[in-house]
Amino acid sequence: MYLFLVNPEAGGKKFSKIEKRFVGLLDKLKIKHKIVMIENLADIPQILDENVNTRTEGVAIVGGNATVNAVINAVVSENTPIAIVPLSKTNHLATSLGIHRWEQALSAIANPNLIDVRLGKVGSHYFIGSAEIASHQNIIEKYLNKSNPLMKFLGIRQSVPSTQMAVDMDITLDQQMTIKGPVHGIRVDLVSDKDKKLRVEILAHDDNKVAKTVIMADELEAESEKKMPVVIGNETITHTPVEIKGVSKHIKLISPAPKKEDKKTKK
Amino acid sequence: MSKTRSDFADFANPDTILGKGIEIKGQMSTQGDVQVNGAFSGKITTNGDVVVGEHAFVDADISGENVYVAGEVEGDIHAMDKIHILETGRVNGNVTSSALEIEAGGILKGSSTMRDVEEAVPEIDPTFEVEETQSDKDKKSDSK
Repeated sequence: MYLFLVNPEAGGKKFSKIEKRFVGLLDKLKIKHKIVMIENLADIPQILDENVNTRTEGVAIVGGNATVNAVINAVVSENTPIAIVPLSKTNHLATSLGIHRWEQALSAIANPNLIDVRLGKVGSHYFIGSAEIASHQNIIEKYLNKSNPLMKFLGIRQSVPSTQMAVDMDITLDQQMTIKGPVHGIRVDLVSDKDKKLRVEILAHDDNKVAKTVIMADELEAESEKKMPVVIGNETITHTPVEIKGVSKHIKLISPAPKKEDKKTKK
Repeated sequence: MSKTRSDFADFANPDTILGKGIEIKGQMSTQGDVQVNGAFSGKITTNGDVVVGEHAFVDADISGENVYVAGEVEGDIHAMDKIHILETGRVNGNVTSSALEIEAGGILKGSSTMRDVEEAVPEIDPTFEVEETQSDKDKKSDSK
């Protein structure tokens, strides 16, 4: 049986609008379930304590980022599979798994593909995969370069960002190293097979070129002269100053079946 | 493995790259290869190789397996295996290694100590495996 923890406020009280269809699809997919409404995120540890038992196959989080963060914080056992069912547009963990609609999430639960992931934290937000810190201008420029069909056709490479687009940053890694200078962006990737949990890639500006620095670390603190957005997927989670950490906790996430089946459903 | 001069331009996938354009200070302790292209001050400790690129300035003590210097180092270098100072390389400090190579034009201002090969072999604590006999097992279960 799956325990569905629903945040009724998420996505502009979306659950109340889709509840019939939601339960209908659960029945159609033959997913044994128990639905519990979360009145207050602070109640989640107690709800889990009262409802998770040996018959619980997994916990499904139905809501947005705040709900996901609260449940992951409360789930003690790393062996309990967790499914993420997006209700609001801000659910970057679901997006990272390739889940954009609640229907997709329920299909994934019916045909679970378990992945063991290491988690990272941007402030209080959990993330998987990678996070990026970049100036607004650089994000826009990157998007334009990526989506410009003429540049693609002509094979023109992405232009080197100008000095003005670099932002003075002060970065501390593991409270042992400090990095200062004009930076275009930072990309942080979670790595699972190394002694350090984060691969930090810093793109600095040097002599009309972008110079790359790569360092492995467990945590990073970044401050900047101007506020810089911290992006996960396509969503801005927060702004600098920010703290990013690799968390020792691993969890089992339910993700959609491999790509081949995805293509079929798209058709 | 020894590296040629061309390797300095493109060190094969180092785990750590300290690039240009920023100022990096502190203690770097890692387990892979390190390439320094910019300015670094502090201390570098790794069990991989360290490459100090042609335009790099390192104000730090360096410890690694092999250390290749094409830029400038202010500090002592300890290599388990080899230190190679290229023609553009400059070291202002003492070096300790099993082998030292300085190309024409390369500068070492400091003393050089050759590490004994035996010294380079890490000490391993002896381990003993004792097979548990049936009587030992019985004793254990009795004590429980």
